[in-house]
Amino acid sequence: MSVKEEKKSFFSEMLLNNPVFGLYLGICSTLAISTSLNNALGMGVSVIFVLVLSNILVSLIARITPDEIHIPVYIVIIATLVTLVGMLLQAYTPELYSTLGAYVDLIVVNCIILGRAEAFACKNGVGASAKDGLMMGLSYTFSLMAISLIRQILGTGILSMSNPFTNAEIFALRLIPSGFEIPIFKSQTGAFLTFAILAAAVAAYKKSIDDKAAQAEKEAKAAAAKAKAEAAKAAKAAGAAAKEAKA
Amino acid sequence: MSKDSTAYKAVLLAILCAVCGLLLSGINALTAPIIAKNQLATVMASLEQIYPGGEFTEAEFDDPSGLIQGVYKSPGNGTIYKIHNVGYNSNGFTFMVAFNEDGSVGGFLPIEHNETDGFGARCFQDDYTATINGLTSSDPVPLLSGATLTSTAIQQGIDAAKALFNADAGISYDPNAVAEPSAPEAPKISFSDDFANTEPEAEEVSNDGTTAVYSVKAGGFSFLNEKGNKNEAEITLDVPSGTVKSVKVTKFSDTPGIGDNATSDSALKAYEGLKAGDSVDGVSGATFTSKSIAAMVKSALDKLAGGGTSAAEKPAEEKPAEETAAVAKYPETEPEVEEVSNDGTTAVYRVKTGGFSFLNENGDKNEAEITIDVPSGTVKSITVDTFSDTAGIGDKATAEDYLKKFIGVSDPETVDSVSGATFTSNSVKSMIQSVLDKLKGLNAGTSAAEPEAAETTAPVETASVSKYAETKPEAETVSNDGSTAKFRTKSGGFSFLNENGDKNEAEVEVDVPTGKVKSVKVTKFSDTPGIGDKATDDSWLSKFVGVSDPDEVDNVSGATFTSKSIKGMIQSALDQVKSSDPAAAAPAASAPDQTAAVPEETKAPEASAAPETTDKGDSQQTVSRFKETEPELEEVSNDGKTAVYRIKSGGFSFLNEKGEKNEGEIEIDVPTRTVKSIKITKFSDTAGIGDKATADDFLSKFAGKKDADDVDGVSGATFTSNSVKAMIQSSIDKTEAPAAALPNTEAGK
Repeated sequence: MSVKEEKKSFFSEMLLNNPVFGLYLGICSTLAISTSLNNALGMGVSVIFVLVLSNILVSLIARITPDEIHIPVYIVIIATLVTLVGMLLQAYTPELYSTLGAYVDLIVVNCIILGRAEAFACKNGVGASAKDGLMMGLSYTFSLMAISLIRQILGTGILSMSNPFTNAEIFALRLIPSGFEIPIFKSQTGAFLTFAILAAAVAAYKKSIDDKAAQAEKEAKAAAAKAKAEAAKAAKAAGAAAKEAKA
Repeated sequence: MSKDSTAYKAVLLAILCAVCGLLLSGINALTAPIIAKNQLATVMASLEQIYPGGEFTEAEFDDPSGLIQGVYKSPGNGTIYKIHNVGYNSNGFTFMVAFNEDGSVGGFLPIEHNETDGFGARCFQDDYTATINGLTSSDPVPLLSGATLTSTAIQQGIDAAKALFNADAGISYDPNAVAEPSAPEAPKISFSDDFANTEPEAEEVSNDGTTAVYSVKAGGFSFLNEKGNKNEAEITLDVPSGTVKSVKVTKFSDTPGIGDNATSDSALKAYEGLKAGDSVDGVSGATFTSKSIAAMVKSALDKLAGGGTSAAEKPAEEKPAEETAAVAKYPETEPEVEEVSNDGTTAVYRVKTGGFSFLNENGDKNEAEITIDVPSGTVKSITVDTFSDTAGIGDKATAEDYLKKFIGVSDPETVDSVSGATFTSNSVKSMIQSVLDKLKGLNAGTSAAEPEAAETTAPVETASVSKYAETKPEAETVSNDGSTAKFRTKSGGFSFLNENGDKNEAEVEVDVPTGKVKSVKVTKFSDTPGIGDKATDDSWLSKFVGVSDPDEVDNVSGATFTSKSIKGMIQSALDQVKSSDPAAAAPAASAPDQTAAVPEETKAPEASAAPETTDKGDSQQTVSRFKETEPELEEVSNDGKTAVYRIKSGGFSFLNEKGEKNEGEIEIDVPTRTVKSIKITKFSDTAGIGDKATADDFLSKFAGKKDADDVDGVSGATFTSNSVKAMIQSSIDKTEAPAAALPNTEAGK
């Protein structure tokens, strides 16, 4: 696998196996906090942190955990991590903490985290689990940023970011003149609209890839059949030639 | 231990939880102080506003009310309470209140609120904040009227803080004390304020050098906020001292029940004795109306100051003999005269003089063309062609029917000024005077005798159609063949006077030689059908035939306004005949009064209190003229010198609404049979309208008069005026009996 192919597979992984757009997981927090890039990044980083650590921890203790109590065990681990993140955010990024509010605590019940622990981490090694957590976390962050980018620009007309630790503005770009913003995008309605459109686009892309794959398979089959036929023909011709030579 | 055994599971979970717990407590220990510092930092900015540079620590507290969100102690300063409560806005509001260590309020600071501007939000503005800042921890918190919900919520919050603070500091107080409702600050209004937005207008009504009366208008709440009307008032000023003598609101256009607090007698009294530059306490809650009144007073004061010198000179100027009455009477109008033509019989002049606009606003002069009959030195015609004064006000004095009054006149002063248009009236008079002066300069000898004749016509002028002045009669000659004159006339009735509607119109025929009515035909009726049209009935109109004073015919009861309108039309037609034929004017002038009185005398036996009307002609005017007011007279005392009567007489209320009569007390000087004083003891007509005719300045006009009709009625208060006149006339009439009896008793001795 070349570097290019690996890159391609990373993005297709991001899109096709996207937990938000592909699997529709963790939508609650996605819709709620995707109002600005800052929120999206803050939430994304928090989720990546919890996801990677929980995947590692779960994969570590998977072998010593009896099946009957694996859910409580995972929940305790995840809850501890989330509380920890919450405390750190509150201490070092108070502004971000106040905007994310309850959604930081709700990471505990984010389906992506529990889902990955259940579906992947408990069956795979530490390295693979960490990588899976990172991939899933990045995908989640990517989706969040995509939605919040659209919502922030359309809803407020400004694309901005600030340092969550000092609250200092990094950049602020007015893309839509004031008075022409579409405030509905700041509300939940806008979140659903944006999400639906993006999910539809991803689904369409997925379908086109599937179609292409199906097409390629078909072509490959046809080519194989043709080759077989030609080979038979050639063999036949060869046999005839041999006969002629004999004669 | 088997992986599937319960014990294993329990131990595993326990260990896991213990590890996680430990981890979290470690992190918590690390972050907790930082978090606390962060939280303090968010309120720190607010805390710093109360105690700048102070050290703050968050204190534990137990607040049963649940309103207090945080308590911050600042050693050496005091304690700050962060409070959240719900006022008007359902999201509530957050504020801080601080108590200094001595218990006084150290600060009151809104943190976040969405209360309504102008209402609840006033609780967070300087006035109320200052009130709170002046309290101590044992004082009750006053409420703010108009922001009851918000201030109640603040009160609850502060009470909760007080409870905590006082418990902490060991201060005993009465938690149930109730604050005196703090009266909202009355607005302080100074005459040096700018009232331009109220657009004040002032017009001088009279100025005798000691007292000046101004009719003023200025916008109040209604005008400024709802494009409504201005308020109007009559302001009397003391000229020498330049102070306010009295303020009377004649028209109130603002919100009843609110603005009228500023027009109450006591509120208006506050203006008395004030002079320019003074300030006055407005009425709280009625700021707009207060300002409107202040603006009116100010405009009157300004007017006095501006026109003061000329006004003061006027009475002095009037003293010189009528004969020499020259244009010097109107020097401030700076008349300019130019002779256009003069053929020895008729002279035409172009003349300019300043009116309101010129005198007060440095505006343009009015211009007119005046034609004079040279031999008689009287005015033949006036046409005002450039009018520069206030439209709708000054132009009353340039209206044709006013200008017509000058026709045949040789002294403009014999014509009354138009009330409310004094400046323009003077401007017109000045024009005439200056033209007449110019003419006199040319033929000085001949004019001397003429004014006498003019004098005799003048009283007729004022006595006749001016009686119906409020109906604004207009007469237009259709034909006049010397024996019969036909007029098309208009005059306002009920509709015109009360609803700004149209005038009634009629065709009046007058027999020129006798000056008597030949026929009356109503051509347009604009009043209430079924009511006013009783006065357009032929049977009533026919009563005027052969009459030379429309007052000889009684009004139609229930159709008083239309009756008046018709009489106004007839009178204006009769006046036209008189003025168009000055030779006939003199006999006609005296005749109607005589005839007016005589037949009524015979018709009215109830006026026979003094049937021996053997004295001079003027006593023929009796109370019978006012008999519809049904005056009831009671003699209180009569010592032969002064007679005091208590008298009742119906005004508007009595005549139109079956209401009560007005009552008054009248003193009559018996020997001269003149009025000494009048006092209205009970007023039953419409306040603000009829009471113009019971105002002291109107009543004082009757002093020394022996005929109530010598004083013009108050326009707009005709009924009450008549009621007052009826009282006076019946008192004067009554005085005769004892006066006559006196010599008898003496003879008896």
